[in-house]
Amino acid sequence: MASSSTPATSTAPNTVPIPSEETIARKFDNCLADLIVNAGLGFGVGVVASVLLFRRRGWPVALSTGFGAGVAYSNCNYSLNPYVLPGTKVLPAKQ
Amino acid sequence: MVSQLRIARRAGQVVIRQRRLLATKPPPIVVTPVVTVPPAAPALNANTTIPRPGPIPVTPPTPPPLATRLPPPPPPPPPPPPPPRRFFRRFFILTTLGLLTFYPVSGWLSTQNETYRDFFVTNVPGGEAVAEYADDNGWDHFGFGTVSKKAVEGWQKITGEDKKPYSTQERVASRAREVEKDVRSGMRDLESKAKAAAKEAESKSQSTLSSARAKASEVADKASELAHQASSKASQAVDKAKSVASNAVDRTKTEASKAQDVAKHAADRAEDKAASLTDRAVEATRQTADKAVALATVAKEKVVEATSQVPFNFSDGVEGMVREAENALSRSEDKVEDVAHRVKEAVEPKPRGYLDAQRPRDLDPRAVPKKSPHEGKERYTGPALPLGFEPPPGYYIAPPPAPKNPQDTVKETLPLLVPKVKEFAESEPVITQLASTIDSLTQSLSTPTSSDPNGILIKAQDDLAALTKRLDDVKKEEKQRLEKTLAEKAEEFQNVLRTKDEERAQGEQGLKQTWDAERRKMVDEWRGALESELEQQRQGIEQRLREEVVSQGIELQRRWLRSIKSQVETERGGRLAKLDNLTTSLKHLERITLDNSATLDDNVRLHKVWSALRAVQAKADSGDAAFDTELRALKSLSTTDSLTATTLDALESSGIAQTGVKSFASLCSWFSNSVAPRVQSASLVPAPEHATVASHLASATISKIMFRHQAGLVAGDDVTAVLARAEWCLGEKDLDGAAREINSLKGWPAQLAADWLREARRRLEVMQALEIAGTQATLGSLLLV
Repeated sequence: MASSSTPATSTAPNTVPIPSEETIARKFDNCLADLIVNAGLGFGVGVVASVLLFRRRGWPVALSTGFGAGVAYSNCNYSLNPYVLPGTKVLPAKQ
Repeated sequence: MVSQLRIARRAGQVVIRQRRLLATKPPPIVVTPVVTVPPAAPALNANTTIPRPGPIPVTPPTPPPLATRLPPPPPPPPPPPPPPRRFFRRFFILTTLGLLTFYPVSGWLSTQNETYRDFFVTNVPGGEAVAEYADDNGWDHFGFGTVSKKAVEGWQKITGEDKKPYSTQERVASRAREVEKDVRSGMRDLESKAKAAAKEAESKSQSTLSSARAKASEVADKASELAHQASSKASQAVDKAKSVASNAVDRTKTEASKAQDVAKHAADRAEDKAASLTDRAVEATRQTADKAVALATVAKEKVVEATSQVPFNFSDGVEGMVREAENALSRSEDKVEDVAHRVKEAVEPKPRGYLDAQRPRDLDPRAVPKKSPHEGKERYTGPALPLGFEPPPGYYIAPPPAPKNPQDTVKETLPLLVPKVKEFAESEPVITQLASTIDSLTQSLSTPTSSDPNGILIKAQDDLAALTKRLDDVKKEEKQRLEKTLAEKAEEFQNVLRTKDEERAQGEQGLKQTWDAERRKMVDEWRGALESELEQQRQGIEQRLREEVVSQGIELQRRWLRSIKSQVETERGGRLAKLDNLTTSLKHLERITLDNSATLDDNVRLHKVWSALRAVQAKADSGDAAFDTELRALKSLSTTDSLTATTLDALESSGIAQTGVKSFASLCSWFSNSVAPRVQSASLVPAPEHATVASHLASATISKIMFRHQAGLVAGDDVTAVLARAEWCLGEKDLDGAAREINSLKGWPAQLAADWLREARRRLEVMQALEIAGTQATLGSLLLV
């Protein structure tokens, strides 16, 4: 009921278009997935680093996981608003 | 490592109890600190030998073996309160940190808030400097992203990528900022300089005053001292000077004489030199003058040659130029000669005789009235003085009168009459006589030595008498002539009168005759005109009569025919008339049937249109079904109606018919189930260019807490109110209103509702097109009726 499943007439692959009200939800889903992936990667890197370089301490793991989460947050932010670049400020258009 | 230590400690603390059979409890181990105290000195006895132990090995307290370790003793008592040293250290650290945070934050705040700035500047020490620093470095623009921007810039600088700002706006802004900074710094510099200068000036003035006073006092003392010294010295010097002076005088005399001789020699030499120089100068000027003259002549010759060579007919401009050149040359020649002359004059020694020693005077001697030389003296009127004698004092001899010039008297001659009277004199000799006498009279008057005037006067009288006689004669003659002429003229006029009378009489007779002839002519003419008119009228009347006769004949014929017809009809029982009736009624019927068929066709068509329209509507309303075939059918049926045709064309070209539109019910449910909640959760998100993850999450959470309007006509511009109004419109089956409301959303809510809005718009478009077609069909049906 929510999505109109019409077959595409062009040669594009047969995909179901995303209803517009789901965009944010999809983005958040992607963000969550990204968070899990990145945090997991960070965790892994942290564990390796902790074991190899830091004499099995706890903080590299936490730090690296934090890095991963931060990267995920940044990606999520970019996906929601591609115009927010670091060091820039979007000014309203003067009429 | 921490964990290892923990493990080790715990391991150390663990008591591994070994199982022993029937073993007594091991004695408790009291861990006492080993004190290195020498054993107490035993009681002093004479006999006891005090064993003097050697140095006691001080063993560090080794931890007792693992087996016999007991739990550690209770912790030592808490340490005494931290010494005041720690307090000061902490105090210092905290105050420095606090100040380090306070000043920058206050600086930034003072850029944002004027009242805080005033407070900060006035009350806090060093606040002004910080506020100024903040203003200078543009801390009022500090916001999110400033630090990262600065970091980026710094990085760019390091890597050497810092380019000039891209846009002119940025360039202008940066330039303006620089200028502002410069101006401000300059102003501050000026202010500080002015203050410093003022202070310096004050201090300087004071110091100069004091120094001046000191100097003045010093000078006064010195002066007094010097005066004393000077006086003593002066007396000494005077004596010395006297002696010296006498010597000097003799010496100077000799020297002066020597100098004079030397000067004389020098003067002679100088004179000779000057003379030689002047001779040389004269020669030189002469040479230059000669050269100049020679050059001028050469130039002139050349010009003459040139002009001679050139054809005679110059063009105007060239001729003018040539003339100007020649003039200039001549002028220059003159100038050269002048200059040469002046130079010669200047250089050569002038003859001394004609030295003009008289310099130009300011006063004009002529302005002063001549003083009479005999001022205040009386005229001498006594006997004539002999030669060589002067009048006594107080008297003067009048100068002899100037000799009279006989030519000065009566220069004006009295006018002579004769020449004036010459015109009349030709006819009247008497007049010349009179004139001549008068002339002689005048001559006699003019000359003092005269002949006797009486004779001349008698002559004049005689002449006058003769003149009057002459006049009388002339008058008489004239009178006679006039009378003669009058008589002649009278006769003439009488003759003329007689002739005129005769002529008049003849004229009258002639006129009478002509008048009679004219009258007779006119009468004949009128008679002829009358007769012609009569003829014409007669002819007109005859024509009319003929026509009337003809028409009457036609009418008679018609009557006869009619009467014949009627008789025939009555004989045939009126069948012809019936046949005519039949034909007319048949025609009438034909017309009626044609009309009927036309209306029937229209009705059928309209019916078709209606059914097609209904089919399209049904198909479209069913939702998500393509209705393009029905639409095409409808289009083909409504080709006559232009409005319907255009709308249906537009609808077909938009391509909605292929995909179909959603039904109203599906749209409603879609809205309330899917769109509205999502829009609600995104309602608090700021504008898309400023939205971040955090704002989205915050909006999602807070919107769940917030109150929501029930579906109804709530006023307001926020998202919730808009959604409520849209719901209400959908409840009232007003899709148009709902679409308008959703259209008013902005930002993320608008993006979320975009699909629904698009679908609603498509449906509305189709509905509108079908409505137009329906109204047109209704109009057509009404027209048919």
